[in-house]
Amino acid sequence: MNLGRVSQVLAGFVAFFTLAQGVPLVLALNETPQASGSAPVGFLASMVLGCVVVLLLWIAGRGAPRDFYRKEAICVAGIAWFLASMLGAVPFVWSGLLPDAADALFESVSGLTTCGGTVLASAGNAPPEEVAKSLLLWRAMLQWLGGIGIVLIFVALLPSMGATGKGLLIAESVVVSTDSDQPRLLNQSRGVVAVYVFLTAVCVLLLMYVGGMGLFDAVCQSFATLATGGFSTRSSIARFESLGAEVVLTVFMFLGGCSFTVMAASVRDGWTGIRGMLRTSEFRVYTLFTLLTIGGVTIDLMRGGVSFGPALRQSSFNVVSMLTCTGFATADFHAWPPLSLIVIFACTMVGGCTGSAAGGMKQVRILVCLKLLAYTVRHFVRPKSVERMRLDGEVMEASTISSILALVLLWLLTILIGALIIAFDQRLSFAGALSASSSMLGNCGPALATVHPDALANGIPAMGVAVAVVGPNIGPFGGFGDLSGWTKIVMSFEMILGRLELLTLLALFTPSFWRR
Amino acid sequence: MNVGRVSQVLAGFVAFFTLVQVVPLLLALAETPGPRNAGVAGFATSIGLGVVVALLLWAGGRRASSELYRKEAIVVAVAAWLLASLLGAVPYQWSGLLPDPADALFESVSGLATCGGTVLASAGNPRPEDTAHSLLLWRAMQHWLGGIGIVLCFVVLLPSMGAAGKSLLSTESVGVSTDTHQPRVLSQSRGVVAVYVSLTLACLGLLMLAGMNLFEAVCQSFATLATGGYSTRTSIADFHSLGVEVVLTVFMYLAGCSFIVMAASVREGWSGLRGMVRTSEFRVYTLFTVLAVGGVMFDLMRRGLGIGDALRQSSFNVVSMLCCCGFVTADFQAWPPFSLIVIFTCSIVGGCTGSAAGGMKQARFLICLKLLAYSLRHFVRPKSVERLRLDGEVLQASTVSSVLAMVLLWLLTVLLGAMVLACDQRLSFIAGLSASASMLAGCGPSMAAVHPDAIANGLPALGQTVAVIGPNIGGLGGYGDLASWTKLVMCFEMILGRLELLTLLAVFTPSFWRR
Repeated sequence: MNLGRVSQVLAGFVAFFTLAQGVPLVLALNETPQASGSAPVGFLASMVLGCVVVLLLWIAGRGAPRDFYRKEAICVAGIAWFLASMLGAVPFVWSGLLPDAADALFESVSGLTTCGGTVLASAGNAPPEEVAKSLLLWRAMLQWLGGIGIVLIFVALLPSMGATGKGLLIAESVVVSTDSDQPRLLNQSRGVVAVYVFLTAVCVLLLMYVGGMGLFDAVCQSFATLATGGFSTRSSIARFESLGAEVVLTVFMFLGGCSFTVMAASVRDGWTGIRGMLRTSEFRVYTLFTLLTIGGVTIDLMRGGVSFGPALRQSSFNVVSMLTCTGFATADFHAWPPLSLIVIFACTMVGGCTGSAAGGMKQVRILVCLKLLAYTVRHFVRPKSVERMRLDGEVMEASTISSILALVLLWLLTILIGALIIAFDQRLSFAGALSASSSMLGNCGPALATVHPDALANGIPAMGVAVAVVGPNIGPFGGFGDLSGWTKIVMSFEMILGRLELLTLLALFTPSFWRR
Repeated sequence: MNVGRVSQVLAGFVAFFTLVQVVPLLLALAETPGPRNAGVAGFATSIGLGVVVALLLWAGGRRASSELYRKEAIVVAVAAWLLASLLGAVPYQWSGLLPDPADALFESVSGLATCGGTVLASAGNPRPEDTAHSLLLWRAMQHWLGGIGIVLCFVVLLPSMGAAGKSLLSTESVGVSTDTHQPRVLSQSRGVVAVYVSLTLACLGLLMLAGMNLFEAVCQSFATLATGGYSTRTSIADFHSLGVEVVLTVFMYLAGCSFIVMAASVREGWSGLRGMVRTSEFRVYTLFTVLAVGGVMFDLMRRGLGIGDALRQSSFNVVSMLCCCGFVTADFQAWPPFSLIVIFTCSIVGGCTGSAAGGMKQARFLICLKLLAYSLRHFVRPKSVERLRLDGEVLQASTVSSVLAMVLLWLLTVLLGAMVLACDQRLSFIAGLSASASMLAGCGPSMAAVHPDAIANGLPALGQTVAVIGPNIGGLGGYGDLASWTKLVMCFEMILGRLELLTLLAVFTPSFWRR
């Protein structure tokens, strides 16, 4: 384990992260002192702290050899996430917005992991509408950087991930052109960043001209959308009162859940490339899943008394939001009928495509599981048959399938254990603890609180209307601020665990990882 | 597919099933009939119908060759379950107890699948305390026969189950002695039945010592060893006896152990028993039980219960839900969320293979845990080569794959079942999910949405019901209020879970029926 080199790489990373804080600092300095509050102080102090950390890391890593292999990469990924989370929380604390350290850490982790669950608008914290613009921008930047960051980490780490990596690579290898002149890694990274930035810019423009948003709101919103984050400048997207904005966001949330690596490779091949991308099994199952869930929830809402138009509008936005694990909401889906809730709960577990910043288990794993289940039934019926499982034409090895299955089970087990720990707070209900755990691990954002029975009797609420709940409101129109400090820390850990796809973080906690 | 031979075997089975109905018929003759318990009419009609069906099946299978291979065995298992469910529902309906056919079918399926969810005490149906003894005995008998029936099904089918079967066999091979004189299947079956009957008698005796009368003790022990859930009272707390609760807790736990391993171990005396205690499955089962009981006990104490009460309520109800039995002493719907999650998990995990307990079974759970640890170790050191072992035997990759697939299929079925059940919009999110898990696991009680005022009042006392929103499908309620199609879906789920998913799904696959 070349700790010195790890230290050097981390120093560079923290330097970049600290530099990025210059942008909100400039914004804070340009605002009126009344509007910005102590935000300039917060960012300034945070940048100074960042510089100190960079110096310490650089000194610790001086003179280290340049060996940088798989173990070092995993170490950098894990530690970088922790460092960024802690450093990113500093502006929240020192600007006075979130004086509680657990609150600030939660907000920062939720930003970087593109979760989107917020402590604002709860427990005495101000709602987003009343927060200084520089801090709102920092929230959005955390999500944007976190989103592209995790995609780049997996571009870098995937070839070395063994069986799991090969399985995921198969999903992308269909359209990846083999350009042997340049190193694949650098090539892919540039492509991915280009697609990401391009889509963000288009989203900004469309939000401004079709959605009627102001520049600042559009920028923050697009940052959060492409990263499938969930932080917004308003308490709910319904507050924008713009169907155009909802449609644009729905489309770009869906795109945010597609594989950026595949998109980057496809675009280089022009139209044939894009047709190739549409033909990947993962994209197909993702699209099919989206259509089925939207359809199911629409019909369920209509059975609950909502007419077709509003039902489709509410269903498409909120279901796509929960499937891509973004977390934006236009309706308080707490009071939706049970089938819709189960669908939404399942969506937070399934998630988007690999190679995107969407959370969840990822569509390709679900697809492989479904293929295995069909294979198992066929094999039970005809035990002597010999067949191999294929994905996009490539044969899948037994070890690959095993490791994908193992990850799915590990995911579900982690949701369960997380729910048990979160349930120590006895104010939450069974559904609350379970949905919170799934939401945090899947980096989704909203959970399900207990709805008051009188509110249920009133039927499905209109768009943007919050329902009365019993206990802390951890739903889409609420926040996690009312939970205890240790609960927030447990949730933060779960968010990072889910972001780093479980194994990467768990490996750091295994003693044999650190041995020679 | 030798349909003739299948028909013959089914004829024999239906004949046996019809014959046993004579016992409750005799009991009905000794009772006074009433508007809802025309037991004599019900059983007499049912026996008559059963004789007709047996004759038809025998006639259909005459002159068939005696080949009975894997496919035929699977068809027999599935058809027998469906036939028994339909025929077993006849007494309920024609005695006037449950005039709704969906109700009668649900009660019958729930009995045979040893689920225990009942339609009594809801939707105008009488409570068990107000039901005729003959019908209560029939409920208990359906449990008892269904319990031993499924264990024998798997003793017979297991060697031919391929990869899934081999892995389950390996957990039992620790205690199985190789007796080459007798065919293994016959030998095992006799042992299993012997263990089953002796444990039932022991339970019966101890329950009577604890103060139950003969009839109730018989019904109760029938249901306990089969990990069923039907009782002669609405809740076990109505017996007002700590002794009864302790006896039932112990025998529920034993009923969740593998009868196959017990049968093999007992033959070898003490060394055999020590061998059984050393099987990995037994160990994880015991550890899981202890942890679950302890966890729930602490959670209840945090809510304000004293340690004695907490231990009493926790041990009984948690063991009941883990073995997928379904007896309750407390309305756990109002318990704190940690306890509810534990209970929900218990009903999914279930008891040991080779028992009548439901759920995924502990062996599969253990193999999953081993695989997860292996995956993590392999991620850390990708070049390491190691094999997964269970009780010293190496697990093949195909075995591990099929076990994992089964676990995933189970969870997916819980989810899909919940979605179908949630089409009844009176059920809440949790009610749909817990009902689906409970029916698939053969557990019994589910969790309805508790009224917030009831939660604010603190934990309910033993045997006290809490106010719920919508149909009360909890431990002290019943499924009678649900729509008929919901009950049919639940019946399907119960049989699906009892036959371990693949057996039933195979019958629905077209390629199964092709040559």
